[in-house]
Amino acid sequence: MTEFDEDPLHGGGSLDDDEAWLRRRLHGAVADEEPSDLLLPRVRQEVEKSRRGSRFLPVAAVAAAAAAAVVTFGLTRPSADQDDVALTEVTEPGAQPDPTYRDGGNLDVGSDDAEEVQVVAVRAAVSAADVAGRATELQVTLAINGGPRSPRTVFWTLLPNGDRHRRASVLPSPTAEVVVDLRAGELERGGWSRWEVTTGGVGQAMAVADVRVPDLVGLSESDAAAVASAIGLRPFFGPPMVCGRPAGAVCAQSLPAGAVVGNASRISLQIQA
Amino acid sequence: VVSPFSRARRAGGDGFEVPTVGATPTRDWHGFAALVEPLRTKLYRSALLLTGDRAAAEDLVADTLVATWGPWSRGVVDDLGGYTHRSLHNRWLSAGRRSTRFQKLAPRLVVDERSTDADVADREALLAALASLAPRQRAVIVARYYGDMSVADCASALSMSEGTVKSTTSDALTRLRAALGEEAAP
Repeated sequence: MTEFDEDPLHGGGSLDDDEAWLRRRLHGAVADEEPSDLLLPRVRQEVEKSRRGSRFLPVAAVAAAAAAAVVTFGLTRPSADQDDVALTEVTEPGAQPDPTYRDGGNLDVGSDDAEEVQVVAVRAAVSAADVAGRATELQVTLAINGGPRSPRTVFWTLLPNGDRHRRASVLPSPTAEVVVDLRAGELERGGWSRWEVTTGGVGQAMAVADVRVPDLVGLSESDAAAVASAIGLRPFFGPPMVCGRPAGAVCAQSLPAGAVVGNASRISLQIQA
Repeated sequence: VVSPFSRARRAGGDGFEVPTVGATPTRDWHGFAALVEPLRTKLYRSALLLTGDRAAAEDLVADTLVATWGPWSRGVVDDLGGYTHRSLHNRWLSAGRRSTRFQKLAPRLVVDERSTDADVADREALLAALASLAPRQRAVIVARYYGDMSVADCASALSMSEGTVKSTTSDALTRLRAALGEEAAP
């Protein structure tokens, strides 16, 4: 007598019998299955990448932004009556800065500071980029000479919202150090100064996250998956094939051994049937 | 607009503080991992029944958990178990819609050395029968009979009406009968 003999799906049992039987079969079919120990570390790695933004960088965007991009910022002081100084992006050479980023925060020079402030250094780094390639977090450090506590350094976080920051050229690497070309100058009340932030280019930074593909041919299915996952590749098993290796051994891999690829790349493996 | 630097200065700070970006994350990875740990096995087994492939199942669970992290860390998700199971099924259905190849994956599950021939044959028969179902039918069967979701929960998770869940279940059971009947035939 086989299990099918008592199978209500074949014996015309009631719907309730069907459901109970199917429930038992489904639970029984996977009762011995456990996810690999690498699952949560892999999720954590992906989460960390997504927080840095690199996970979502499309290849096309990386290629397009590989050349150094220049972002020009203006430091404005809207009127002689205001103490606040706004850091804004200048989209066209020679244009007055558009104070659209004032929501991101104002650099408060303060009435106790000098009438003039001098920007002596600036360092900027983009720490996150979203799926559309927009910078979502740009930290600019300004060293300002002027006032009783000068020089001092502040961090400035810009929060571009919507389309106003949708420019591929604004996308530097989320991990690369940004090279800054500072045009320091006196900032008078009512005046503005500008400087350029030159990004290092995304392609250069992505290389940091690249991995060299190992030779997985000949390893067992589980060993190959473990090796690939450990270095950040995403193993995927395609249809089995016949190659004369022991059953379960990897016969072929989609990425050639020795190739340098991004560390979230998918690698297809085919095992001996 | 109150400048974060103004606030820092007024509070006696020196302006060196990095202002917080967006919503303050109050949930960290360790909290997430502690909540996910007891869920991962059932998620994985559900994914295995859906995909019929260990690697694809693990990919699906990993993608689901990665996608869950953001909403959870922002405090949008409270019921992590329900959210991840709904997300898992939806992600699988979405992937199925994008790729016909995905739907046609042969069940290559898992032959454990400890399994007897009868066990293996039994599991392969069931997985082959599941693979013969349409993706929505498979999702409904796995959600209801492995995930133990009620009709209402299943309808909510899979964005269907309750009537559709019931009719899909009925159709799926009919197809399972036919598929398992063929397997059982000598």
